[in-house]
Amino acid sequence: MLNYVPRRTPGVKLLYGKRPVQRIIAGHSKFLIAIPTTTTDKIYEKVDESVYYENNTYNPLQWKDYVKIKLDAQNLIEADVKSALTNLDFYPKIQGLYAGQQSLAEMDAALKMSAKPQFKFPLASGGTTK
Amino acid sequence: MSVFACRRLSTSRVHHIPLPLFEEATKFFLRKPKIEGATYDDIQLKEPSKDDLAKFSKESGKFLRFLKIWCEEDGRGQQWVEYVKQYDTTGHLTVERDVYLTRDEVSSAMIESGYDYKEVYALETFFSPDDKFHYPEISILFNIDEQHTYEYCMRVRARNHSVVAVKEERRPALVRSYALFFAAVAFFFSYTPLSSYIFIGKLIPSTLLYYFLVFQGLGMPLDAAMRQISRLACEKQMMTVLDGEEAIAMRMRDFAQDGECLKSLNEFKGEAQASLIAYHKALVVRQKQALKEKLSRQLLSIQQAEASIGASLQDVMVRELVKMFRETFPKDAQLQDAALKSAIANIAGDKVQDPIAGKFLSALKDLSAADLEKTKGNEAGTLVERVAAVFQQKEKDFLSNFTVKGEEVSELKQIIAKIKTGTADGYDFKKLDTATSQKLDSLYSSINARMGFDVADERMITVTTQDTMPIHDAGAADFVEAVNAKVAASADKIRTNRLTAFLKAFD
Repeated sequence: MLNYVPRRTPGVKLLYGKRPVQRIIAGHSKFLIAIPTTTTDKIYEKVDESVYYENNTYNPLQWKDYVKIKLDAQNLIEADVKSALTNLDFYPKIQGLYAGQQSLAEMDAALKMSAKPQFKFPLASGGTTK
Repeated sequence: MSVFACRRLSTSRVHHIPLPLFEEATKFFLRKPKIEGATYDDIQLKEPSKDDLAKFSKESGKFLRFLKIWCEEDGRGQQWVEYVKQYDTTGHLTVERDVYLTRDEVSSAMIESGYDYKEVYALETFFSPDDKFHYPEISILFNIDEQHTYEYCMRVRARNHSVVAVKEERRPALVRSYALFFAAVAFFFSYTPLSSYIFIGKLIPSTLLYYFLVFQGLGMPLDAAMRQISRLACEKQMMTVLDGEEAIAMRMRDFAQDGECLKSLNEFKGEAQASLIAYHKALVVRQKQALKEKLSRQLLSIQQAEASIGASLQDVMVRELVKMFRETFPKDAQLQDAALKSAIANIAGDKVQDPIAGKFLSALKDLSAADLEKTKGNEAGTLVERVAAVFQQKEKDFLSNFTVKGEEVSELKQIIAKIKTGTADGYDFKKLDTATSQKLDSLYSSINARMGFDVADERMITVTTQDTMPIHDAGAADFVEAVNAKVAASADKIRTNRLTAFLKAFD
């Protein structure tokens, strides 16, 4: 378990930062994961760039940050949920808001149409109403 | 990681997966093309500097054509012009021979760094897998400092254990190093105490041979076992890493929907407003369409009914004419006698007018002159009276189906008299008892349906509570209650509006 992070310099990562996305291949299934460089840059903020390892290829990550990332990964693996957006309470509000606005729109349309129905009725005795 | 995309990678896009490497010495010699003034050496053993590397002259017409298009797309046309100046008059570039990236290595780096697949395909389509990109070319292609591209190329070559071409070092021709070594060894063994025949010829060779055999016998299986243990350990570690990556990737794929959810949530307000405006318009359009369709259908029914009356008039005349003849002929002895005489005269060849035909013609003449609306109908009377009776009955049915009846008008007038207030509103519907109110609603519905008028009805509007139940959220429930109150108030207003407009037509 080594806290090495490849340097961002073009000598190590040739095209890093040329595009806003960084892709990595992960796992047996060769998942291609695209990560915004704004996210990967946050990792480099915690890297000690004054120390180099292995032919100036790697910088060390602070151990506390490294362990935190590892723990996050472990928690992510063991998370038994399909979403992080749990216990959300806005759905009933949205449902009520949408249905309420729908009813109001229907009522408004009906109100406007009922205001002036200019109909004349033919009478059996002849002629029409006013 | 807040926003990311995750998908399976097609195998064609994977150029290499980092797996543990185990080096094995082979019995084969490496054969490379002969280069004048250069030789080959292992990059990791030799660790050559930039000056040690052999150079060559590279023809780059194909690359320059691609670079021109690439730079123009990037808006770096001037850089291309400056770069071309590095080439000699024959269009060749002098560069270190083995400091390069292959086409696949470049495309892998592009994919890794988020380049669009179209750009990668363009590169892969233009160049063949055997084409090499030397570091000045990489530098201009991606607008990177040459020193950095040199470092990167050397790292890639070293990682792939390449053998690179280096400048040949010629040793002095007079005194070879191995001759000096031989002289030193000969001098050592000539003047040391143990430099005897037994020691040199017997003891040292036999001892060396003995230990050589011992190490060979024990060392080979020991080395194989150690290599196997090390390989298994590395493979197990790599599998563990890949398992972890797989698990994280799967989780990330699940959680990727969260980003979409949040994005949709941010856009929900605008979408909801737009959809409600569109829904409002659609309601009006639908109502207009329904009104138009129903009215057209009713007008068509009226037209068909009128056409039917006209078409059936001829049938009625014939039928009533036959009916009248059958009823009157057996009772009219004079007509019978005239008909008989006329028949005999016809047989004799005399031209005599047929009295029956004359009676039919006379009846039809009367019918054409008569006003069926004013003639009093009588089912047992003359032909005109009979046809008038049938015609008036059909007209009565027609009016009953498509007009407001007199009794309905009088009922409405009674209601109007009961609730008329004389104010701007016109009527006070609260004065109506339940039965009368229901009667008014019934008259409103039946008369409008008969006329083919499709009017807005507050009872057709969706009741909010039915759509949103069950609501367990206090805030949403409050809003729904407020909407329901507004809907109820509007429903009363709609009813008042439509009934007021309806009654004013009969007032």
